[in-house]
Amino acid sequence: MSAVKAEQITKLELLYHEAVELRATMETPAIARCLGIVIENLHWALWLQGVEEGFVPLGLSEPNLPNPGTGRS
Amino acid sequence: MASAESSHWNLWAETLNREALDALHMRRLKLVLEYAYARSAFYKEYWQRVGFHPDSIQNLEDFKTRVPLTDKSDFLQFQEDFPPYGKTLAVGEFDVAHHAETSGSTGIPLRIPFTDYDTERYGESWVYGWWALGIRPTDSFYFAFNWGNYAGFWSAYWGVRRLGAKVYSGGGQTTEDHVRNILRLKPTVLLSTPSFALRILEAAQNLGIDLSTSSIQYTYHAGEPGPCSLSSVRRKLDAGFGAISGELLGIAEVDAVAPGCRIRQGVHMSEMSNFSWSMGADGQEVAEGTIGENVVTTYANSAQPLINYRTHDLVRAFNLPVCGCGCTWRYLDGVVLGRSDYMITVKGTNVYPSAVENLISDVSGVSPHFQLILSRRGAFDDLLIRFEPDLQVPRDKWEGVGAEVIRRIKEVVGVRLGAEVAEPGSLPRTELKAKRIVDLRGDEFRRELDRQQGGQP
Repeated sequence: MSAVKAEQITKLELLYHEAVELRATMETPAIARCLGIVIENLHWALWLQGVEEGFVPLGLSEPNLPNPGTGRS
Repeated sequence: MASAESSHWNLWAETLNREALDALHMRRLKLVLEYAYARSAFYKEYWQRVGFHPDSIQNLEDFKTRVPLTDKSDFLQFQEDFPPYGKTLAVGEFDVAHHAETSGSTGIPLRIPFTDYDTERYGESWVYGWWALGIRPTDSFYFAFNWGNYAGFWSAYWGVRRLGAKVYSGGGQTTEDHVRNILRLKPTVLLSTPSFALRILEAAQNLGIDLSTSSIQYTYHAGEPGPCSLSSVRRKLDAGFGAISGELLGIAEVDAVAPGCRIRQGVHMSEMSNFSWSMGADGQEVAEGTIGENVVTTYANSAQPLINYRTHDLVRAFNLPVCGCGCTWRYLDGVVLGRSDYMITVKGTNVYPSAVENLISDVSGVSPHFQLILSRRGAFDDLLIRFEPDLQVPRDKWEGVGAEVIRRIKEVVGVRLGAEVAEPGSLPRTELKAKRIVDLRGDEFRRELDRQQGGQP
């Protein structure tokens, strides 16, 4: 992996975790939804380069359990 | 800097060597197994019942041989018992963002839940094929498709959004309206089933309009055998629209699993979103290039995971592609060659109607409008081919075309079938999948291969 790509991935990982943390504190549904989309896209960006963290983004609800953490309404 | 001049949508991913792809799959398959075991009551109960645990998988060979197979019938049963999705749902209802259904062409429609993220990943698989053909974010897509519950072209819509191109909806229009809309809106890409694209060409011809001079530069198809499967369909679409036609193999409940190869003799499995292997009738993996059933595990459906899922599509697959296009992803030569659950025996010979379908379309003088009529004659299945000749074939030559169809099938399949000529325009046209196979047999005569194999629950 080139130094440039390694740096890009490091930044993407930081953005991903920052977005997850920020969404956890967000009370406005509209903004939480924006962050939910960002988190999905960042997870996918990592997946498409083979450096994903888990099968799905953090915050996906469990079966039969409501979970407003993803920002969907 | 992102560039429309890039040769690939994702160069790194599309040119990984087999060793690297397999290592990536191994890591991801373990993630999927752990995810399904932790979240899906269906998988947990099924695997516990047959004595399987995800921890027992150390390599791809383990995965292929130890992970129990799944089949559409498992999911259909659970959905019927506990609607809408049964115990197969791996997320809360809250996170189901889109509900789709299969077309039901082989029975009861299957309900398919998608999370928002699933739709993004599903759409991505289309883009690889479009990009390989030359389609770019500056293009505009006309959807000759009514926006029902059918998953296929919804996923293409997600793909266009992913590509960043423009969408023109053709929902709720007549065939003639589609022709006029193409002239009025000037899209550069037409999306439809191949048979409906041919119907649009017929409608244009009746209106005295030549679509080969229209704005359409590409046509792209799914839902039935298209330009990468059938050379006659490719020739007609290319000539009729004055464009380049392409094809994607999609499996509604799984993913847009295999976007078209740019050489247009087959498709490549979308390996960022799926792992697949070919299984013989004995349940074992078949050798490279040998026809077997495509068994798929998708990374694109987290709402209803599909693991070691039997597609019943018979494919000739190459993990080291032989097409020469440069993409390293698993190559399906000729796309789908037949269906493992749709084999009939005619005069003692096993015949796959889909394979006959492929053969007929290659006979000169046969139009893309034909039917295979399956019936029961005494103790044996029988198959009659009913076809419309091409419009330019004079009536006195029709019999000769029929004889050539019979000869060609006898030569390749080894059995003499009947052929019947139908008047041009007399066979049914549809917007979705062309109903080419008409099965008049009772249910008791329909065979399914080894349904009991592989530890079905």
